[in-house]
Formats: sequence, C-alpha cells, structure tokens
Amino acid sequence: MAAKIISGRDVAKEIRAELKEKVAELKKKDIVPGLGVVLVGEDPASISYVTSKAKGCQEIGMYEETIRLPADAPEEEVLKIIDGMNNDPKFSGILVQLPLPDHISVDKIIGYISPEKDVDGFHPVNVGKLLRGEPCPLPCTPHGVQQLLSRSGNDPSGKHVVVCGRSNIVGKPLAAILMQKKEGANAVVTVVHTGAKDISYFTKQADILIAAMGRPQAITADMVKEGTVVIDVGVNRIPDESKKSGFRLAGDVDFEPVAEKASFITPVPGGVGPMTVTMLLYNTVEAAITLNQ
Amino acid sequence: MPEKLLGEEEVGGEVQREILAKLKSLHKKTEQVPGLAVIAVDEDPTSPSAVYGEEELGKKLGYHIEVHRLSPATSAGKIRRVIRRLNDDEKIHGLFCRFPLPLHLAEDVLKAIDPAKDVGGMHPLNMGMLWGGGASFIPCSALACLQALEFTKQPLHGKTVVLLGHSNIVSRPLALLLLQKNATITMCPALTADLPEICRSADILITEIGRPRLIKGGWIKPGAAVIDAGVTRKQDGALVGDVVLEEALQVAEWVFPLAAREAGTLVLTMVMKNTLKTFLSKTV
Repeated sequence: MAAKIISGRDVAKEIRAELKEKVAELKKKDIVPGLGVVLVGEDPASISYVTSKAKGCQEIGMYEETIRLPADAPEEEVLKIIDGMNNDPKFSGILVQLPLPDHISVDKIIGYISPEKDVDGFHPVNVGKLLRGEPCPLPCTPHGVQQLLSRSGNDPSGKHVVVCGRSNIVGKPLAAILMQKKEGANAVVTVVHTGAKDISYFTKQADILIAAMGRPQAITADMVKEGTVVIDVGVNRIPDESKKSGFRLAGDVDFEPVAEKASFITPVPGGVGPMTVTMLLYNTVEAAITLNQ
Repeated sequence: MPEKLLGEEEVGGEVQREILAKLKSLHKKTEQVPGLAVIAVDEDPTSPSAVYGEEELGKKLGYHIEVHRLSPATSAGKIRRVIRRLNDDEKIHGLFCRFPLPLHLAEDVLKAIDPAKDVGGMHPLNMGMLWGGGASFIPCSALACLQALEFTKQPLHGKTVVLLGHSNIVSRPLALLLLQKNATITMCPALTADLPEICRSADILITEIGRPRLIKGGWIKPGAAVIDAGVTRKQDGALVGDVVLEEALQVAEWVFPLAAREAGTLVLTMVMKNTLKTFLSKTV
C-alpha cells in the first residue's frame, strides 16, 4: 500500500489534549465549559453518540448533562428544556441529538437554541455567518475534516478539493469552510453529486478528494488520480454475520485499491468519526470563552 | 454558434413588466403600493446631484421610495435607530442598503435590518436559510445572475458551473442556489495556476474576480453561457469587466456583462422583485 494513513484517533487525541489544557486554564478563572445534551427516544445509534459525547466531556474535564425524553415527548417539552439551558450559565453549549421523532420540527428546535450556544453550528444565523466568513461555531464533521487535512501536512490552500455529496451537515458546510480566504482553506472547491453526468470526470481532477455520499465503495480506484489525498466521511453499516453486532462499518471509498494510488487516506472506522465529537468539545470550550468575555 | 449578448434591459425589462402587471391586477383591491427604503451612506450627503437608480426605477414601477442619506460620520447607534424606525414602518416593505458601505458600519447596518424586510438578502439569517432552500430573500446580485440564466432558458440540471470569486453577494449564495438546481459547482476563490483549464470545463462561467479582461476567448468552452459580474474602474472612469467581451462573443453562446455596462439596473430590479414579495405577503 502506497498511501499514508491519516489516523483520526491520533489527531483527535492531540486536539483533546490541547482542550484539556485549555479547560484547566479556564477553571483557574472559575469558568467551567458545560455541554447540555437532549436525547429524545431510544435510537441505538443516537444513544451511542450521546454516550461518546458524555465520555469526551469527562475526559477533558468539562461539565456535562444529558436529558433523556421518551420518543413521544411533545415538542413543547423539548422547547422548554432548551429554554432552560439557553438561560442557564452552566451550559456553554447545547446539543439536541438528531434525528428527532417525526412529530417534532427539527427546524423549530434548532432555531430555538441560542446561536451563541449552538455548538453543532446548525442554527441559520450561524450557517449564514459561516457562509459570510464571520467568526462562528463550525459544523463538527466538516471542521474535523479540515483539521485532519491541516494536521497531516495537507494544507488545502491553492489545491483543488472535490467534495462528493452536498448534504447540509457535510458537503455544503465543508465547501463553505474550504473556499474562505483563511488559513487552512483558500482552496478551489468543486461540489459534485448525483446530478452530475460523470462523477469521475471531477474526482480525477482532485488533489484532495472528500467522499461524503453515504454509499459504500462508491469511490473506486479508477476514479482517483495518482497521489490524491482521500478523506472518507462515509459511515455505512454492512450486514456481517461474523460480527457480534451483526454489521461492520465501511466508508464510501473502496479502501485497499484506492490506497494503492493515494498519497494519504483516512480509514473507516478510525478516520473522520473520532473527529466529530472532538470538534463538538472544541466548540463548547470556545463558546464558554466567548460567553465569558 | 449563435452567440447572444444579453443586456440588463432585456433581462430586467421582462421582470419589470411582470411586476407592473401584478400591481395592475391588485389595483382594485388595495390603494397601498410597495414601499422601499434605501439607506445610502454618502461622502457628501448634502450634494443634490445624485439621483438614485432606486428612485428612478421606483417611479417607473409605481413604488413608494424613501432614500435616507447618511454621512459616513454617522454613529452606529444613530443608524440602528433609523433602521429600527423603518423596520416598524408599515408603509415600508423592503429595506435596502446601498453598497459599498464603510466597513465600520457594515455589520451594524446589515444586522439591524428586520430579516423579514431584508430585500437585499444580506442578513446572516437569510444567508443561512439558503442552505436548505427555504430562504425568504436571495441576495439581489446572485438573484440577478439566476434571472439571466433563467432568461437563456437552458436547463441547469447536470451542468458544470465555475464561479470565479468569493463574494457574499454573488459567488457564495450562487454556489448554494445552483447546487439546489442540480448543477455541479466549482468555486475558485483566488487565482490558481490551472485557471484557464478550470474555466474551459464550465458550461456556465460566472466571474466576479475584478481583473480587467482576464478571461480570454480560449478560456471559454464553445457554447457556454458566461456571466461577467466583475467590474474594475479604469483611470478614465470607464468600467471594465473580467471577460474580453469581443473574444467571448466568438466562442460562447450567451454572454451577459452584468456589472460593467449599465451598472446595476438588473440588481435593482431584483430588489424591487423582493420588495413586491413582502408587499404581497402583507397586503394580499
């Protein structure tokens, strides 16, 4: 295999160590960053995310509180809890775990979180600021991708980055981040998706290729040029009877053959995954600093 | 290749006729007219010489137009008070700030405007709503480019669009809007070595980079649509676009010099279109 592996676990560890120091510094000034999490329902994937967020908070010395509601909790109740967290100085960050049950409006819930405490970076005001290049909490997964690139020595500046996928949580915000005239950005960015006639025409141009389509093995070796940096954001559950859980995780990239051609590549699991929670912790610490200014 | 030079009058005229027809059809229902307030921060607010395009176009369309001229020395607090009054004024359906604004005022001005009256589409809340496609207002310059593309009647689905530049009023919002229309987009925020090659891949090339006559005929894919939103003022006062127009006309199917010619009429028409939208939601 030719490509070097970019380990998300290692980069996440590095950032968490930095955050731990920052939290310790803040505590000397009597500032304790705190994350409030709201979980509605019993979705196993959601429970596992929320647990890893709580663990992350403990690891870096932050306050954390998760409020669990049954799947049939009325929207009013969720709004009331957010209202309380908006006004409670214990919380510098608020996160409502998605997806929400159908009877609750995601837009309404996200719009209700105070933009200063919106550590997911999904509030329309924060999205607008991101697009306008103003300081704001960056959405966690795309921010994690940016960190993986710059901390592995692959500064996107002046490079042609091709983003496959245009979701509101990865593709669009990642394009918005990387096109800014800022450090760790300033790239030529192409966003390609299922509407294109020939995706490989674009992927072959990429100096940096980001796969965020949500389709296993969608990026094959014939679609990448020699020496490309490949970041795989996809998390697909493939049924696998040999596993205790009954599935294994696979990315959007056909890993082995693509790794033969790429210069750097992220694995799944252990690539982008560990970065998402880490950047959430980062946003919560930053929010605590801003709120106490 | 049947090349076609599009003018602002051509594209804007169609929209203006639509606005006039709509207002005429409402004439019997209401005596109210759409109201637009313009904030203009001028070097010399006492100079009577400037006639604003908004006033002229507003008169033509039968709008109520108020221009509030402020000196660059005006405090941020004063500007906020003026805007707050206009936010509450029922006669005013749209509030628009002329650009450029002095940098130290821009933030205060943009964020004080009620997002529901933000017909320039620049408030972060409206910019943020571009993501999901539920935006109440689209930034007027981006809307002007979309209108020009619509005028050419070409489908956007599956097209390759290259955007040169990274402004908040053209490239960034357009990138999101064109993604929703199923186009593949490439954003070039700065000059890169392989720029000619990237440009040649474009079915639709939109530039606002502000480099006079940078884009040669050889950079353009035969049959492409080109929108030149770049504008540079030469020493003699003349405005120049990013595209070598005479060469582009040889290669492209459509060329639309948005900025450097009758500067801004189409953009103002889009402000009027946005104002009509709020007016209709309030009165009908």
